[in-house]
Amino acid sequence: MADDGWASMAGRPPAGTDLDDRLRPLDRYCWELTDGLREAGRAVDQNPDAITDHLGLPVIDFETQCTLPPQYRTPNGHPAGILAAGASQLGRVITGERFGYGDPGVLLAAPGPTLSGLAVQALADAEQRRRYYERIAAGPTWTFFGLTEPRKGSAAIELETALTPDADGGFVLTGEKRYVGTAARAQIGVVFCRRAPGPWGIEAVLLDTSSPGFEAELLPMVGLRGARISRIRLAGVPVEPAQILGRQRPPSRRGLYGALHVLHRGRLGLAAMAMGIAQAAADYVRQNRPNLPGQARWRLDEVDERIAVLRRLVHRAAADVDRAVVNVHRIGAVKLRAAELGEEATMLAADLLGPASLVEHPWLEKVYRDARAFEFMEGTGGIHRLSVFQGLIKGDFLAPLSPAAATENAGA
Amino acid sequence: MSAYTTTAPIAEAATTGLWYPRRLDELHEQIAPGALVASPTGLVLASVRALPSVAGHPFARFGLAHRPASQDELSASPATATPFAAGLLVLHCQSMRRLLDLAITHLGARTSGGSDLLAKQLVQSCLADVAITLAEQTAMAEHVDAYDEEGGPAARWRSHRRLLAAGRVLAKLFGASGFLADGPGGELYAAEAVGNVYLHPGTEFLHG
Ligand SMILES: Cc1cc2nc3c(=O)[nH]c(=O)nc-3n(C[C@H](O)[C@H](O)[C@H](O)COP(=O)(O)OP(=O)(O)OC[C@H]3O[C@@H](n4cnc5c(N)ncnc54)[C@H](O)[C@@H]3O)c2cc1C
Repeated sequence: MADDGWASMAGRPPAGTDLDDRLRPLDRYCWELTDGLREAGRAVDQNPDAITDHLGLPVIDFETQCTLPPQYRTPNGHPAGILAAGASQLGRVITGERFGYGDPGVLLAAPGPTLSGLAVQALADAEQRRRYYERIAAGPTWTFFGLTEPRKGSAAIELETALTPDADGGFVLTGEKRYVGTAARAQIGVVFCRRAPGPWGIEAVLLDTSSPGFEAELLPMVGLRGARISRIRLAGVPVEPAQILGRQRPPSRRGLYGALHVLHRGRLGLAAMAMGIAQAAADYVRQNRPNLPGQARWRLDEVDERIAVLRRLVHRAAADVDRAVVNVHRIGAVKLRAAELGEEATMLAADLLGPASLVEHPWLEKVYRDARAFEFMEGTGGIHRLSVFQGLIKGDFLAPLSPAAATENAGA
Repeated sequence: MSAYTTTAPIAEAATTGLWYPRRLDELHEQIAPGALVASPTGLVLASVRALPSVAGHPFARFGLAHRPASQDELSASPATATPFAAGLLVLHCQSMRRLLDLAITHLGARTSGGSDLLAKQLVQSCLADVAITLAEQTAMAEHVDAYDEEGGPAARWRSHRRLLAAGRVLAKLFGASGFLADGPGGELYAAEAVGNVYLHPGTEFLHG
């Protein structure tokens, strides 16, 4: 790994953070686990199904264990305190950045609960949880989270996949999902669908991909191929009432509520991974061009500075979620900025490494493509920008001016 | 229906997705009939139809292949490099112009909150920015001094960088369908990769 920028990140605590005694060891541990991630990342970019050859990577097991409820964990040598720290939202962003620095594609290709697990945590009743987690804990299980449709992406609240009652007291699921990670390789997943008009008519259904009428295929994407983006066709898939997540809850605490619960948390993880990419790109340039002249060094220093600032904001938003404060505007803001920074840092690296850098540096060529995925996942930059505006108007985005400053402004 | 709309069958997109590599081959043929033009650093990039692709290389997913230039190609380079570089910028603009039209069709066919996406001011603003960049680039091509012998490579690189930035804005307007390898994102990636090889003027220009 000597020539890929890894060493310069060697376990140093990330700038812009004040990690406490619980989180510093987690950060250090995650950094150590990332060994082998880039090699696996190369293989997965080549052939996304190659993830099955890399399931022994400790990082994959650690990620699964952190996302399982404590009673289903098999520590497999991971220190219990570190697993517990990694399970908090702040822990999730610390691991997300370190593993994103290594290779986000491997993380997304890996088996485990990922986003569907968050939906189960938010909505499922005790029996649904038990069945879901026992299945995941039994062995490598890939899962998916199916929200986006061919006609409805940003406007997911208008989704059209239909959950229709059948004659036997059950339902059938009909429709199409698009751009859903891992669906074509998963064993189980959550599909969001419509049982009635309006936002509260949305349901989340836990599906087994072996159900009749379920069909999924991989789509060819520009980058982040480990995510194994898929198209799903649902041609009258039978659904038992017991598969509707949280069916005993009121409609306002079911489908849509669950989707939003997942997205707010998932976005922080994505922001962390995109920051990891940005930092990796900056470190890679330093590693390969140790004597960069003034202007170039200045541009790279600016990337570092912006990552450090963003890291502080990401950590703050994650710590808020751990305190049950979910500020969607701030979460959207950091996700959009991190996605931009990932793109900018990889483009800068391609510039600074000179002509044909995308041919001469295969790692850079890959990460240059991967970074672009973060714009789309869990809401585009445009949608988050609109959300920041809403937060600003509501007084929920920036801290309020001090009374003294407010008066000064009014008088000016 | 356009090949690149989200609702288009993937196979349809795949057959038309190689617009850029095809035009790249035509540019080679126009500048160096019967041969391929070498980049300043001694590489050749063309479509996978014109060149056997390096096994498993990611470029192949975007219809591109590369190899070191031959001695003949290197010797021809002083005469071919400048017109080829100018042609690449024209090609990049043509690609963006066509994708801009596709984006308008695509966004006009998608709805959110009761109106189509083309009616959203944020979207309109992005489309306008892309259009302005294309208008500027057309004017730039007419502004002969900009690409004179001495400053030409740096000016062309700056043009490429502006097109690249506008292309990223444009690809985002397609949503995730703009990230399909055989869709708009793939086409713009090909233009970026070709520019990285043929138009990058060398680090001395960048380091200041
Ligand atoms: C790598 C990757 C992984 C993904 N993983 C998953 C997954 O696991 N599960 C899943 O369900 N989905 C997934 N997605 C899909 C993703 O969530 C959607 O792509 C995203 O929500 C945007 O939807 P869209 O692609 O339909 O774009 P659209 O909604 O069609 O947007 C097109 C353009 O219009 C803009 N726009 C849209 N609405 C408005 C508005 N009201 N005002 C102003 N501008 C607007 C957007 O910003 C964008 O630029 C993934 C996508 C990618 C690329």
